[in-house]
Amino acid sequence: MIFKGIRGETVQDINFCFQNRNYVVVGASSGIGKQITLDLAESGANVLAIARNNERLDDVRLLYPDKITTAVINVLCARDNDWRGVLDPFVTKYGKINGGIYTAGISKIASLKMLDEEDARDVVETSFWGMLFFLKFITRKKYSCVGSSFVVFSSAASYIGQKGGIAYAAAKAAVSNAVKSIASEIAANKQRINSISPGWVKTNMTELAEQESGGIVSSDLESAYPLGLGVPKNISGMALFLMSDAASWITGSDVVIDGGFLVGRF
Amino acid sequence: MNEHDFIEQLVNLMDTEEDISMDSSLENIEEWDSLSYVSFLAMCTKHLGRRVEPQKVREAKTVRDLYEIVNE
Repeated sequence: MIFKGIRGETVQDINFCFQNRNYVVVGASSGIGKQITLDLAESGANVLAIARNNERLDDVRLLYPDKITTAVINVLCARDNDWRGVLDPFVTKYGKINGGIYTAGISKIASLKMLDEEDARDVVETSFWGMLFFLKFITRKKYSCVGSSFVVFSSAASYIGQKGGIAYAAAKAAVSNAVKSIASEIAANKQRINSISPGWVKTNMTELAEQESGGIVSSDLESAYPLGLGVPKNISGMALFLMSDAASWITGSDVVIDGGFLVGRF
Repeated sequence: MNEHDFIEQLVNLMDTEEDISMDSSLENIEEWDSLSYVSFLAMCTKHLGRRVEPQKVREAKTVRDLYEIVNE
């Protein structure tokens, strides 16, 4: 069945209704975070879209100006006061948050023997530490409703070995493992948290990684994906599902969405 | 970067114990593999502050060819 969203866009066979719900998306200016932001807005939610690039963020906001508000934060250095500074006004205006999504991540290819400490730390800070500082605040009762749901991003890369992927794989494995402990802590407030582990999704981040590898990555990429390479829309549906009431008994899980990459390798 | 420093960096990057000179053929250096190639691109980006053309690196036959890419 085909449905029409509030902007008349064609929606697929599952339709989410997030009217009067409030969400925060970190990493909202591009890739998977942008897609989730747009899908949430299309489903009627109020979204606080956060990224470090204000210009691209504003392009996202303009697609749903009455649904999306924006805030600029650099997750590499954002700490307590920065998070309070963006969450306070949003919650004051719209009410408590029903869920949060953290998609911020960067990839740097580096071999063990040529590991650059600064680059490796940036990778872990962006994917892992940034996520922790975000969750530390947003899961508080002051900001989030009873029953709110959080979705963070691990990666199919955390399941396997890949040359040059040490920091990225480790950071993403840290995410899906931290999720289990966080899930058991926040369950007291009926809050949930799950991670998604995407395979290769065509975004700015993976395009940069492809460039960085000088074509090595792309040369056999297609054949490693039985269902072909991913697009952000392949991921956002699961994120919205995990935030919906239909997922109210799912917490501490990692969901692999990879077009068959992990099962199909030969 | 002079020739001596370049060779030193390249030896470090590949972690090879072979004697490397400007005329060494990359084909004969066992450690010049896909990972060394990617590391070389990363090193160029980091130290030169610009991306070098991957195609040129792939086409390089000798250490001197790589040196010329760096010094372009």
